[in-house]
Amino acid sequence: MTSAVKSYWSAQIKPDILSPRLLLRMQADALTEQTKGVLVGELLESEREDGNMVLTLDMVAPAINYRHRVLTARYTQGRLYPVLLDADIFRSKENIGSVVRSFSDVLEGKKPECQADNDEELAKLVEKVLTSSSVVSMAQSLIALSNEARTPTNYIHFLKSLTEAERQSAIDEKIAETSHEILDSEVFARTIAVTNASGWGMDDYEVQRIDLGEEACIVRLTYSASGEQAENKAYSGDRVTGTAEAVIDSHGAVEYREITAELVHDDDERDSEEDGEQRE
Amino acid sequence: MIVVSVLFWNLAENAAILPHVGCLGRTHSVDIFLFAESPDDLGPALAGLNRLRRGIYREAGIGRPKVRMLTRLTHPDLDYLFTTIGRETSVWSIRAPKMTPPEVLLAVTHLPSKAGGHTDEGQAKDAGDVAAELAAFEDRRNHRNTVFVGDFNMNPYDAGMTLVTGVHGLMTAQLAREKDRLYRRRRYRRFYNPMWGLFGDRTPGPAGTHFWRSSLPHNTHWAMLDQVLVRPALIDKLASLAILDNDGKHSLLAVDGAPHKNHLSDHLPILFTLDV
Repeated sequence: MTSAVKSYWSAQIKPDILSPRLLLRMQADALTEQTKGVLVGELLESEREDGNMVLTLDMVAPAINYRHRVLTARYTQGRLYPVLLDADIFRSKENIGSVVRSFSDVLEGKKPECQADNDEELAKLVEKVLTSSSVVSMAQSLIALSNEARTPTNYIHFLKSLTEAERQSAIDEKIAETSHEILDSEVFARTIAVTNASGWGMDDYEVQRIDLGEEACIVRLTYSASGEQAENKAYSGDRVTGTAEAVIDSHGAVEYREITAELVHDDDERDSEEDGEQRE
Repeated sequence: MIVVSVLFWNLAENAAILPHVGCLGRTHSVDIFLFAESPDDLGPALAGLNRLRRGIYREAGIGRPKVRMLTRLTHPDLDYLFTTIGRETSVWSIRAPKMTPPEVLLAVTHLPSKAGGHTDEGQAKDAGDVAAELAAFEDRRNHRNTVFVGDFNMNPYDAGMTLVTGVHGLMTAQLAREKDRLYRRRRYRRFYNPMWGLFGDRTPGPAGTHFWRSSLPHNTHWAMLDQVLVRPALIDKLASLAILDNDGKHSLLAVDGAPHKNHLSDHLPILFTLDV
């Protein structure tokens, strides 16, 4: 015959008690996993001058290099419970009523709302904080901002957000950076093929017209380029002028089309060369 | 960026103050405005600033910290890094080519006031918590190039501002430059609090940043609730500091020489520049 021994120990004394550190570490890791690393949960531990240990749980958004403190948990060193939590929901204006209630609770010897005496209570409080509207909305904002930061800005939308002067300046910057590509075009190569000049470079351009559409910005421009006339070779032009259309797309990439190129003969240069020939 | 100008002002939730922001921007070429107790809609201030055509001002920040920022600086000159619980303190990164590493942390706070029921002890505890959070954040960034500005709701001489376990703000550069103070086997870093030098009427500008009209027997009348403190590395980089009594066009004072509380705010703005 067997008889079960009745335990007089509290049912709260059990083998799987979690420390505040472990419980919060699990939640930090859960955030990282749930957001696929867009947000990273980070748990830090420090010791205060009064001997209290403080755990801080932060949401970190690596893409925007930003950190938001979600909660702190304080407990006495060497004794993990009770734990006092601090979080937005325990400070919010809507919660003032409950803060007052907490104060009267203290006066009546009751424990504050933000105090957990064991891991079960701590788990409930932490869940309350992590599902609060302030934490949820902040997490969503940080994810959205991170995704935005990882997605290139629509350059056309950016141009539209600028004032006329700022837009002209931004477009001019794009053209200045890329106008040398005109020199790589087939039209330009064909034009300079008949010359004895090399080392062609863009001298100048002038924006004639800007058409800002929904998908692209088309910039019409004139340009002037020149090369270095080879010595000992006949002069057949060392300057080219022409027109082109620059198409700036939503990624800010620039492509040149409708390129024209016309060889400009310097009459003085040609005359002096012809004079030379006559002299010979 | 070499010189950055920052203006902090507690607006007392008064929308009538916003037209003065443009005047302040024009007069002082302000890069960063920090507003405590701002009205919900800062649109009129932004409109006034952007009419100046001296850069594009915008509201910066995530999740609306207690102290809101209007600025014409953008990434990488300015980035938002950190917000504490209750959004009472936020930390920004300012690009600072003259510093090593090339970053200044701009920590901005609005701490609870005694008017809200806080005691000296409560304020000192909060100040200690914020200072500890800030020190931990500095350690994470591996430097102490920090400016701490805000409405602390304490005077420079109050315990929360001076305690070694509080903000630990000292009244002279010499004291602030000493090595970390060892107290009960812990080291505590120091701030230099230049606001001490602006008290009273023997220095240029108003006698304080806040004026309390009260018949209570113990009343210093002027208080220095709005303060800027710097770590030792930035003492020589604080190029200027002033409490403003006008916006360049209009006085911010009433006829009695105190802040124009009824029309504007019971606080005056503080303006400082950093040569970083």
